Amino acid sequence: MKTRQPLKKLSLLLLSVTFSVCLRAQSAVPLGSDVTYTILASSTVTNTGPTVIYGNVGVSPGTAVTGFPPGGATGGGAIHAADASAGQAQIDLTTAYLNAAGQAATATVSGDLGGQTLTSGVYKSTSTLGITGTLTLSGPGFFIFQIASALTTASSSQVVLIGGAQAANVFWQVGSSATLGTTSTFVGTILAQASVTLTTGAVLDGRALARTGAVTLDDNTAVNPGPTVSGAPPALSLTCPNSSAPVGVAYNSSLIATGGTSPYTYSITGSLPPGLVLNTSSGAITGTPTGGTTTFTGTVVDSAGSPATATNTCTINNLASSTQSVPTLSTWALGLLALLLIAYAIGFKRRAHV
Amino acid sequence: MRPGRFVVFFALAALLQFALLLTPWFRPAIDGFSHSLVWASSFLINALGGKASAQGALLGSPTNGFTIEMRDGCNGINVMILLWSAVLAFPVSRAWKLVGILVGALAIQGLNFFRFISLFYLGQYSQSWFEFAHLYLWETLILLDALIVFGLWVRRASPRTAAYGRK
Repeated sequence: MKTRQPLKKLSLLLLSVTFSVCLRAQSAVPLGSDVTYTILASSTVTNTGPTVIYGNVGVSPGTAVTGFPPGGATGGGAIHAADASAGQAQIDLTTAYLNAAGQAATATVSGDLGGQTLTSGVYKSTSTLGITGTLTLSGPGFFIFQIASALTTASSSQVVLIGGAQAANVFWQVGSSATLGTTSTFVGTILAQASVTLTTGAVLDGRALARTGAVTLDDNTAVNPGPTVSGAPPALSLTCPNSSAPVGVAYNSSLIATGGTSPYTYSITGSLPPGLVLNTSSGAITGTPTGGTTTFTGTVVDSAGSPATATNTCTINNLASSTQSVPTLSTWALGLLALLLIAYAIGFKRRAHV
Repeated sequence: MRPGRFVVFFALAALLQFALLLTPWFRPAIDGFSHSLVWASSFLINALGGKASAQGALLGSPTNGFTIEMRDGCNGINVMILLWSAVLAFPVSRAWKLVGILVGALAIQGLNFFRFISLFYLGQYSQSWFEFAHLYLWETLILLDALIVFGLWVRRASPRTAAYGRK
């Protein structure tokens, strides 16, 4: 009996250590049906310009989704305005929001996250949080940010993934509203109590989900990162940038890699429209196009021991910057038609009387 | 038929119809008609395996954001009014006028519907092709469509040529 006592103590010790580790480790935020939604609002979804959303766009209980077109939901996505799917997505958003807010914090953050490199964990902010410059998220696991009030990212700021971090595993629980700065690149699922605004040219590798307010978009690219990742990362894939690049208008979009092991290296076979350039480390494609519609092959290579490669054939069009109206006949042509009709009728009658 | 009489009747009929078009009472009907054409275009494109979404007067591509708008003047009504005016001013029986109005409407709207869809595809393929088709090709084809329909109708409806046709 005595020989069993140390074993019992050891097993109890192991159990308590395991239990405490489990208590502290962050877990996946259950998204439910929100997995398929890239944009979800409560009151309205309002878009300006040729925004491209890969995934579903929904609103509930509000009904208004405006600006689609010229915006579009693609990649298997559709627009759900106050239907049963959007209603369920809002219910699941509440569950996800409360789960994210309820996880035990592993660290406290404040002010501006720009310039920092963070590993997985639950980061709590008791007030607003901002990102200026670059925030780097490193390594596998889940990154959960609990923000008591607003999240604001600066213009051209970016969130970068390295060390196998996955966009699908990053969550931002925002106590009020989130605003992504112009031409910024943001990663992760935003679970906002009120509203989410993506300002001009912002790129989102994640989701913008608003519980009680609106989602506002403006010439954005938003890519659904798919379900959360536990264990081995999913196969590497590559999403094309926004294909609408009006001549003379500043363009900001990105090749976006999903799965595999971050960081990624991007390249292009073929050429971009003149005026646009690729950032090979971030995948961002920026500039002001001067013309030309091009089709090219985008390639991404990940950082695994045996690097994986994914390619996609993409097109960038130099479409006109605004919606085009297409009159049946111009004013002069209408006048010409009237004259021709008169001339024909009179001519025919004259011939008939001869 | 006196030429002056035809011109006066043609002008009066056109003015009356364009005036009606501008009145607020006809506004909902015209908008509804334009929106129906856009919706039908979207339905046909999606049914044939393409991708398009309709919102009001806008027909857009969900993949690249290219969007065309069916404003007033894009729905073929202006051309129909001119063709109807010529039909109404031409001295034939009321039954033939009714035939001319119906056939003219079908001919113009059918071609305009096809024009709208073709421009939606062309605009996504090439801006220069889109502009050429929009500004030159389709203007010419719509003009010819209206003239040919009117010419055929006049030949069939005119009593004297109809009599020739029976001989």
